[in-house]
Amino acid sequence: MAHVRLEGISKAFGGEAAVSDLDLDIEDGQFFVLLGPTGAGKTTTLRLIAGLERPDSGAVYIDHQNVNRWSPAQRDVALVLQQFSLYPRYTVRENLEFPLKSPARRLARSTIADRVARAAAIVRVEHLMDRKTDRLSGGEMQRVSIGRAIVRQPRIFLMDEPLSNLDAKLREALRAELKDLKIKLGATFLFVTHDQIEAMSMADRIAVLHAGRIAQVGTPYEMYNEPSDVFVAGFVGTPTMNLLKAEIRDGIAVATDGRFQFKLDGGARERFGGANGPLTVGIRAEDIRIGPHEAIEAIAHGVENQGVEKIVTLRINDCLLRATVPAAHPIAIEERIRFSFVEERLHGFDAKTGLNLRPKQQ
Amino acid sequence: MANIDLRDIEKYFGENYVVRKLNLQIRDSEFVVLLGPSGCGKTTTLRAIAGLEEIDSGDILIDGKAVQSLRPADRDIAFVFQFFALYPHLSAYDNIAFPLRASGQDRAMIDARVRKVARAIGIEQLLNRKPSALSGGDMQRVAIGRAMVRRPKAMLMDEPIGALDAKLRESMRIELKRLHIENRSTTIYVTHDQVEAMSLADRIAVMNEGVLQQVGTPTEVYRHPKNLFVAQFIGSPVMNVLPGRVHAEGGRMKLFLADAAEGFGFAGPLPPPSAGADDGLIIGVRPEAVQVARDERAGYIPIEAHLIEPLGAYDIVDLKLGSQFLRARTASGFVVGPGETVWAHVEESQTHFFSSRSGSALDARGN
Repeated sequence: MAHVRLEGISKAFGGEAAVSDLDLDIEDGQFFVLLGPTGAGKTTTLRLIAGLERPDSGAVYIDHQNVNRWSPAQRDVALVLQQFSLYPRYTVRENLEFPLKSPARRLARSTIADRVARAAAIVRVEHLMDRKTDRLSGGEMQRVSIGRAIVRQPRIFLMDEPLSNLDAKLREALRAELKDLKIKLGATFLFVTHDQIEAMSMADRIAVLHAGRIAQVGTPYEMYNEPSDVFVAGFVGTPTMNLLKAEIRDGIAVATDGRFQFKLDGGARERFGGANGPLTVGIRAEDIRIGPHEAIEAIAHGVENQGVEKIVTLRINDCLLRATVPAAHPIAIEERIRFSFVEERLHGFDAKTGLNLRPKQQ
Repeated sequence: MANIDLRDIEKYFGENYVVRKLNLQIRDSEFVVLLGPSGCGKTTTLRAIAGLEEIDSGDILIDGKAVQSLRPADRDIAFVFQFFALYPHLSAYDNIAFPLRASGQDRAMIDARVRKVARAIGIEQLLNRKPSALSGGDMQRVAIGRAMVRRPKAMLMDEPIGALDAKLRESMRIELKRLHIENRSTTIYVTHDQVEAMSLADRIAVMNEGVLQQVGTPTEVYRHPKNLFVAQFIGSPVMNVLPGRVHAEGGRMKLFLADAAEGFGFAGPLPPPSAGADDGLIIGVRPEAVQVARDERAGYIPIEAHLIEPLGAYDIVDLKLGSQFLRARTASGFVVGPGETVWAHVEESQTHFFSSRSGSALDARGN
């Protein structure tokens, strides 16, 4: 259990900035997720906290102590990676015992046995203790890897895409298990992923990284409902938020590529920071209404059955928008349909900077 | 423009079956997706149809003619791999035009076809570039364009968009489907991604361990899975699967899940014991079929909420049923926090019964 703070961290590799002037505050006992595409600087940030990289400038604090000069061992963090790093010829039990048998730890036999048993129960591998790890499934191996981190009772768990190599069903199960683990252990977790569903489902707080900088820090709810810029808006949520170029003139909005007008609600003026002129408008698929009496006409460009619902791609001139409809709603490709926006759910972004136009709350 | 008929296809390595007694009829201009986890035999099946892999027994018929002894080139089938090799010295335009030029079509017609395909898959602005100046995603789109431009009798695709990023995959799915509707080439498409299968397929053939599990429209496999494997492979979040039993209490039926002390009121039809129900029942319920209310209602039971996964448009809430969990899909923010007690019920028409011995669905509706 520990509090982690990064202050003005920058790190470059061969003149190429990996992270730039990064500030981050991870509270004790928080499940914190670093989310971003490949190359955003997530793994570098994690390695800087682990002590596997040194920052070019700035400082890493663990429990308010500057640890820049501390070795990875001194920092007392546990690392779980995408590739399982287990000893294949050892049994599960031996793998779990290994980190505790280091002479530096000088632990009593009974303490080791106790901790191993408890970790095995937490990650549900008790029935596999005497099996060699090369005889385990991918999910079991990753559970053992996590178990091996648990026995050490580290101050922080650092996890780098630990679920990426697993199949969808297992990923879903392990997501819930990790979240449960955090509650049971009360430990601080820093979890790196490029998968927004993982981030949304597990995090207390998310930091979205983009090109080495933080685009937004907030709860999953804030990320989804109040994205700070077009990057976050487009990165968080499936289907992706619709982003369309538009222009506001005297309170009327016109979609540039779609060449259609749409209404703005009374609050939009404020939410859009009083914008007049060009802007980017964002609307999520579930915030588009479909029905025979809606205001705007479109052609069904694509229809995707997703079981619980359908995603319809609407085409209005050169503009494509994705909308969610109930699975039972019959729609054929190239059929004419009508839609409108749920006005209070429209987001406005600056046409140039991409920043959300919503005035910052004090 | 081709019927493809697979009859008793088998393929094995030593003692191990890769594909076992596979029977599948693909109708003219149909889009069929072979779906399953890695190692299920889907790619082997596809390669056998293309002629890239020999089968040990069975017949592959294209338009009624056995082709298993024909060379790939004689089958008039286009193949798109996950990683496609383009001609590096030719521009994207010339790569796409290549198969048309090879068959001696006239210039204006070639140009029109190339541009049409390029527009559909969104690479018009890249046509003059060489492959070395394209990103991986763009190269793959050029490869798809090259296969589509021929309008072959049949198209075989092996995870063609699996390596693209999520956003591009979304738009490519729609364009592939539109191109199919326009070209009407019989298409067989291999993927492990059920979302892709659901959105593209006319029919999905679900495979596991070399054995065909179920063939049906996306709606059929989603609403009426034939066994536990299909039930849990299709749909996200995964279908809840819990041991269950049915009890009559004072003339009313109750459905108990896992080791929960209370049962859901249940009026709907149940599988007859003759269907194998006395082997023990496994109950399957999709998260969206778990109904959650804030206050008491008839047939509902009180359940404590555990973890909540906020997924944006909706939440997935783990409800504690004894030592196990029932995952429910609720409106965003409906359940405020862990520990809160809510009232829950399972929608009867969407409750599935499986035999715990065979894993097969037990038909509760007597048909």
